[in-house]
Amino acid sequence: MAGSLARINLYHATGIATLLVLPFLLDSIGMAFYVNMIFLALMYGIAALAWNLMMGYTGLFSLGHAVFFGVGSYTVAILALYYNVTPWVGLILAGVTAGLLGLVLSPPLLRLRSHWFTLATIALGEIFRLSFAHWDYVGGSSGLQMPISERRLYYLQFTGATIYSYIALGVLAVELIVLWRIVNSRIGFYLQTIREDELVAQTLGINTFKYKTIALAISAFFTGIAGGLYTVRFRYVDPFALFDLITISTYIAVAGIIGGIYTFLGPLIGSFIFIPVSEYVRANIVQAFPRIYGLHVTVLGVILLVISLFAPEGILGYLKKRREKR
Amino acid sequence: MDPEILTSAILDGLLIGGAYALVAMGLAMIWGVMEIINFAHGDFMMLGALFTFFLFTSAGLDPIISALISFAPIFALGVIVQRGVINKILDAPLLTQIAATFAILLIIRYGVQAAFGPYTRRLVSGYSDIYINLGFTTVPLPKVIIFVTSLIVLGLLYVLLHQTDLGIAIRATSQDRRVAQLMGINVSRIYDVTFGIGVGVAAIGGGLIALFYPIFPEMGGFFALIAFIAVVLGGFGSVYGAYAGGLIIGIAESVSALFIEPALKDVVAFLIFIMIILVKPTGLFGRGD
Amino acid sequence: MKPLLEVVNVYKRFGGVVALKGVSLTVMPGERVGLIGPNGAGKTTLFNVISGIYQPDEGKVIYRGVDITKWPPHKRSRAGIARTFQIVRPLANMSVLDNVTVGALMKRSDIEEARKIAYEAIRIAGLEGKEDVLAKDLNLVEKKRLELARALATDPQLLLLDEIAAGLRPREVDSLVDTLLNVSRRGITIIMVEHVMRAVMNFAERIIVLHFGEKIAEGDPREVANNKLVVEAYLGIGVG
Ligand SMILES: Nc1ncnc2c1ncn2[C@@H]1O[C@H](COP(=O)(O)OP(=O)(O)OP(=O)(O)O)[C@@H](O)[C@H]1O
Ligand SMILES: [Mg+2]
Repeated sequence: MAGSLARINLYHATGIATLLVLPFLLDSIGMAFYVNMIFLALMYGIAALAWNLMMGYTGLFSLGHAVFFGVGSYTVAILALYYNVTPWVGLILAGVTAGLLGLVLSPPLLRLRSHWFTLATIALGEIFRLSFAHWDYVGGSSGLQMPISERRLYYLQFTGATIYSYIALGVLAVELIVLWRIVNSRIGFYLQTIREDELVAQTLGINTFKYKTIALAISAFFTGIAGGLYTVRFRYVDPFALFDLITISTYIAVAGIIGGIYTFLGPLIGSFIFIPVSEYVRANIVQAFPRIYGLHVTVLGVILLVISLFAPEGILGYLKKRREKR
Repeated sequence: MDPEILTSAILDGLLIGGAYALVAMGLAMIWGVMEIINFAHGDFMMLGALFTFFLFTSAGLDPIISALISFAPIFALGVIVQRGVINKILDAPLLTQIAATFAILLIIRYGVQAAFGPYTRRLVSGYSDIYINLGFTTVPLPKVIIFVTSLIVLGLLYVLLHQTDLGIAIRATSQDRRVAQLMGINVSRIYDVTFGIGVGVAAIGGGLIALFYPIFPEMGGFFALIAFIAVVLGGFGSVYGAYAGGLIIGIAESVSALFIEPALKDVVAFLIFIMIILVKPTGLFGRGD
Repeated sequence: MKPLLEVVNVYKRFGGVVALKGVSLTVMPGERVGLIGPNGAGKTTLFNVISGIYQPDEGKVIYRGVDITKWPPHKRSRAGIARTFQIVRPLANMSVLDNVTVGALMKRSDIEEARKIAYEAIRIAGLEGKEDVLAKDLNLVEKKRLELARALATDPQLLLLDEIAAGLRPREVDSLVDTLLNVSRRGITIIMVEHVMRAVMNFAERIIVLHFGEKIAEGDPREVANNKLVVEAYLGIGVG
């Protein structure tokens, strides 16, 4: 529950130190694959933390966060490509665009509850994917390539993932501070009340629509920035990779569920557990046996199933429960 | 618009709607009896299509017979899934239920992709170019067979639910699980059968759809969507309502194809889906006390 | 003095059932009103109409002279109307303290301040010592007390209590009545729906009787208890 989570303790300090040192260390000993893994875990972690403001705190299970992720990605690419806007600014605008999209979508979307909400978010992801694939301005189904330029700092073009990892760490730090303040404020209490019982929330003076909209907009904002990081890192956006139900929407959700949706840091931890496993399977097994394409998603399904059946509170939630029992 | 084109579009949609109706009926039955939303429903349907394809290509069996036979293995798989997963999450929070059935979706869909490859298969059989002349229009034989089969399955379900002890037990359980238990009904057996029949009927639908629709691992997603719309249209958990809903969607889709650019067809379908669930008549909160 | 609450000719139908048939009533500031009637009389439905959970099919709800019939529930609670639920609705996965803190946050945004108010409301409702227990782990009587604490924490002017004495032993009923009399003394207007006669008779200054969605009697507790219609209504339904 909000407020009772310990302030910075030894675990947190160790985690922060490791994250600060690891990308540099791995890079200097030539383990680029693992640096990229850290980048991905951070990128998905940022999105999963944002997603969990809706899931764990507000009780709205989105399987459509690819919409905000993808719109953030495209924002960075379009701004750089068509308007020569530096991705430094683009990243922030990616969050703003995605957040605004969240605001626009909230009147219809937030009227829905439970599985209806989930189904609608899945449908929304498909709508964006198909629409972007047919929209010439955003490059249609072939997508957009970031400009190649000598101005590397301006266009954020570096070799390897190390510098991007530090940028992602910066975003993560800001996000953690913002979310921490929110969940421990009145808003955090209100969101949890809505999660538990929307009718009671209303009789306690809570304008449930307003607060759900706030949650959606903030969640979309940070998810959009995570999408922006994708563009900066991979320099190429296309509708099939970005508005993907599995590798974006579901990955974000599974990272959150594995880590524990009723804990603050769970989704981040989940991302650091799940992304390396998934990357490992994809890079080693699926790459080696291309015929069993899809295996890594099957593994994802198995992980999700096992967690749902045996530890629905997620890893961090499980640890917390055990500690409280003792 | 030529009225002849319109009538044949309506007829065509009605016949295809029979297959949609099969998928939707299974979803409605599971929903109504077990109060579980089976996100993986379309993927059981896909398994039916794939099974039919393999029976036809490797054993040379008639595709329609194959589609009917596909009920058996998918029923069995359904019972296993119900025992192993669904039964354990019946009282879990809704978020866990969604996550678990979505996990089944991932395992089936991408397990098939890993095992059989991500290819698109087509079932080309002797049925493909036989037409029946109805005077004002001609209709392809396989679609007529699909529709007739769907009617037969509907009839069988009616008999099962209303004239057999098992059916009475199923309906009692759907009214009130606890009361049924007190009456000596083995609820978890009823759930096995319900889930098995639900996905088995969807598999028949999948097998029949395969007669004119490409088969690929992700095909279930779109059909699940159609089934959800049909169930909402038909009133939640009503098997017969879902049947009617399936036919309506078949017709709506076939008629709208005359007007909508094919590239946007799916976008429109998803938009309509969201609109329909937005206006669904469930009320906001239910009872207020 | 102007009335605090006026319900004017309210109708509410559910399909074929007419739960409220032209109910009108007036409540003055600071009053202690008992609302009784056999099962299914429409008492809870009336609370749902007053608190904004249902829109009446006809009629008006006027609060402090303002027509609030169209107001959403959250606006009504902000205006000072608080309620408890007959079928308890705890925020199950939150602690007792957090449940009540949410109520206290309605009028302030500082968490620590809200906690102080919440502790006080918890004490008044008789849940002291249970602050850190998850709401879902309370027993039914405790959950009813939680309903009361949560409503009190919103610092209401009008408090709608729906059968919070159910399941209490006589001694506990008396102490609840004492508590509510104290709450009332702070100027809070209370309408109490109750089947436990011991509670209503000792608490209310005025009693309103609903039967099949109609107001059949109203007045002084003893008067009403001896009213022929009321006795018949209760005997006819078989509830004593
Ligand atoms: N949401 C609803 N849908 C359908 N019928 C309802 C609904 N709410 C109440 N009713 C019906 O309205 C009538 C009045 O119900 P209500 O709950 O208001 O009675 P009550 O006086 O509170 O009874 P009790 O003493 O048993 O709590 C009953 O016949 C009830 O079945
Ligand atoms: Mg009542």
